[in-house]
Amino acid sequence: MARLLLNLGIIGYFGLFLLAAVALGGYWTGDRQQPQQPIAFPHTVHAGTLQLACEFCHRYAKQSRRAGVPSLTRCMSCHQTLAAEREEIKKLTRIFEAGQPLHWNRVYRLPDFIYFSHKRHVRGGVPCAACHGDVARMKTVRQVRSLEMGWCLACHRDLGAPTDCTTCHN
Amino acid sequence: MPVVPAAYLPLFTILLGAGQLLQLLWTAALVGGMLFSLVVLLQAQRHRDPLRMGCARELSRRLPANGLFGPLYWLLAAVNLAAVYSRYRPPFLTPPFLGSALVLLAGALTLLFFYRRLLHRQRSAGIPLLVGTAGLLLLLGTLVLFACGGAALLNPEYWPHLDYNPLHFLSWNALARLLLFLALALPLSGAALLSGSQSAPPDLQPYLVRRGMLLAVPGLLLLPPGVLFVLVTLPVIARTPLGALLSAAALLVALPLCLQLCHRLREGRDLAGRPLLAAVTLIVLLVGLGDVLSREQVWADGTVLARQTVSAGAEQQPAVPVAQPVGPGAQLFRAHCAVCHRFDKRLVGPPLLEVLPRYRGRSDALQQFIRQPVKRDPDYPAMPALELRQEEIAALAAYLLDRLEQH
Repeated sequence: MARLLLNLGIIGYFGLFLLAAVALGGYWTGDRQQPQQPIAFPHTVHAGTLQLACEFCHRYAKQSRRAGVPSLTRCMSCHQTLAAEREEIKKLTRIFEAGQPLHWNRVYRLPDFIYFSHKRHVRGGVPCAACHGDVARMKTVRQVRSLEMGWCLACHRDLGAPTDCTTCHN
Repeated sequence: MPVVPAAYLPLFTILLGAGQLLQLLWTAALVGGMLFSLVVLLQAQRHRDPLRMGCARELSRRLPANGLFGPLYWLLAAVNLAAVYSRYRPPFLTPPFLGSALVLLAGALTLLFFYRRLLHRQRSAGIPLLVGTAGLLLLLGTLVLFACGGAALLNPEYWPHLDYNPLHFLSWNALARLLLFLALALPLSGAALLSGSQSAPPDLQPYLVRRGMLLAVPGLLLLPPGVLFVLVTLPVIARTPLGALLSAAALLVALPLCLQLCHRLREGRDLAGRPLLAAVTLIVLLVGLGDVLSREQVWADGTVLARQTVSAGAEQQPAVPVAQPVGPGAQLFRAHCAVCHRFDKRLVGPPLLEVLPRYRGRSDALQQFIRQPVKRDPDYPAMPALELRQEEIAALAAYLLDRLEQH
């Protein structure tokens, strides 16, 4: 009886933590930090080889809270002739011609109660790579910053930006 | 220290990971063995027990820091630190940090050397106990530095801010690593004790075996919370499913070990040392490999550049940038043309300085081309119509011809 109880106790104890570790592993799988996109858009080519400025496509970064993703018209202005034979571009063209929207998967997601403005940061001289990493080397863009409050505050304090609660919290 | 060339990076990373796993195993055996030796010595002093005194001597004789092992261990730590610096360039690996870590380690190893000498020469336990405790504390001091450094390597987003607030160097993950290390060190040294007990003097053997088993159990019981504590305190960008699964696999290996040990202890039976040592080594390697994977997850895809630019960008650019007066033509060029054209080099389209001269003084022809591009050179793809308004086309043409004159 005592042997059985000891067995059960140890197995239960290890099992609990084992389950928790497996559950964490399961929770971390999938697209949480590096979502696959409907079109395999290579930043390595556009931001890397072609060295396009980020604002060439993310046009509102300097003027608005949101950096924005480019409209399909913008993609097609080049791709109606360029690399038109490639499978991904054909897919893009089909979506464009059907007049459908392209549902890009969001990579960076802030909670609803956070007020964040791209305009403030870009105009304040924070380079895009400070938060987004070296996207020119990422085949599929992934989240490279935790977006935790401590990280925001460290930078705000370092650069003398405001640290009032209401600066970021609605 | 040279930067590692990109071509050798995977090989270098594997070697670095192997070096760190070796150091982890070595340190765990050293710390566990030393801790146990001191506990036995303390009991020997309290009970004036020659058996325990002999046991403490036997343990100190087996520490993996004796003879050549001490300098070799120090060298391994120094090489690992240099390799980490080469690979990741962390700003906290400054000469004072490196110096203090290596001096602390050298001090700890020297004290451990004297501990063994004193223990074998002196009859009383007092002075060796003092020297040994000081050595172990110094060793634990270096471990704190290594644990904090290891945790900070997973958190490069805080590096630019270390100058402002050095407390960023401390983290819950570092504390979790220390706990986990202890949970690995105890069973490893316990298993080493068991497997090496046969070569000990016969009167010490039962005592060593029993203590070895007793030492391994609390370590194994500490392992599950230690593993989970490390996992939940990992920075978001360091979380990898495979790392979590490796930790789970380590627990899966530890479970039957713990069951066996508890039953054998309860029934007063011995356990074979070598299989236990092999299993505990496997647990240490699984946990260590999870750590290496987490770090590589953080360091993939050029995160390095991001941490370099956050402060560099802030220094180079004024807090309130001075607005450059940019004409509508320049803006249009940036928005519509710059994706394919540069003035001085071929991109998607030809260098503009090569094709624009034919439009010198012929703004109308240039405007017509922009309005309705015609494929001229078979070397290049056809230029798409940009669907601009007439006044935009005129501004763009004026800007292009103006730039041509400036060159």
